[in-house]
Amino acid sequence: MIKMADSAGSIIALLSILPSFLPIILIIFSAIYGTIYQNGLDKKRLKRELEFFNNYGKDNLMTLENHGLEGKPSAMNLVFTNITVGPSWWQLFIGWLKGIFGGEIQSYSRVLNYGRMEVLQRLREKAAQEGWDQVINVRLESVVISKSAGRNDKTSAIEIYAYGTAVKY
Amino acid sequence: MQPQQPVQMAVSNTETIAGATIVQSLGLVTGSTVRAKNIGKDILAGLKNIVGGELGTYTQLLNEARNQALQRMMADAQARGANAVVNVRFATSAVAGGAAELFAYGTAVVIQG
Repeated sequence: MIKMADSAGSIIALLSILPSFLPIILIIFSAIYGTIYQNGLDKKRLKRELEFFNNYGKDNLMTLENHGLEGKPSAMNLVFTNITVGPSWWQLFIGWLKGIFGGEIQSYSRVLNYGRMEVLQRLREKAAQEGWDQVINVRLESVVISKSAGRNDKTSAIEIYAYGTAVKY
Repeated sequence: MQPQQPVQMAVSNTETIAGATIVQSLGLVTGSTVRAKNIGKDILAGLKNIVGGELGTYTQLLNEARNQALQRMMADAQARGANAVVNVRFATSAVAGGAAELFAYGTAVVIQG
């Protein structure tokens, strides 16, 4: 009886100190799983890009407005795509550390780079799916979405959107 | 506000519309919407933030909102008697925490051809 009460007590004690370790556990989880997850995202994106270029033969996006390169377009319409990305807790932590010493915050540039490449790839795929030949006058913009009212936490969500005019020759 | 039929018209962010000539300019038209995210989406995004990457709930929300801003701009243009909007630009700003304004503007024109 005494032994059982003892083990029950130790379990309760363990459970009661667990919440104080939770942030550390989550940060470690974020560092390990977040890195694996983001590597996977990058790989998937590169695969889609490669597939697209293999099928399509060229990049169908351009920032030029001059659409006379391949003759006069017969139809056009606006297309846009967007993505919202956020750095992981681990990347935020690294960013905060880097903020002390200065220099490039690679953990942030990685997330932003992923977002930008992904949104362009989505624009390519959307335009191709809808049967357009090319997207001209492509513009890229990004905006920081603050997380919640009252908190000055402005680093957790960045929306990147791309738009352009899809044309058919 | 009664539900509106989606407006269909030629929209581009270039200065011309393919296969048509602009015969009249009807001035600048705008459309905007301010969207707040709900707490459920915040919680989902907060969880996703642990590993980073795309925050899908926000992506979808902002995409719908941008579509609405564009629709409002087109409705404005239609009300002026235009049949196309050229040189469309998008702008987004995060206003008071947790909300974003999505804004679309362009020049309403009458095209022929």
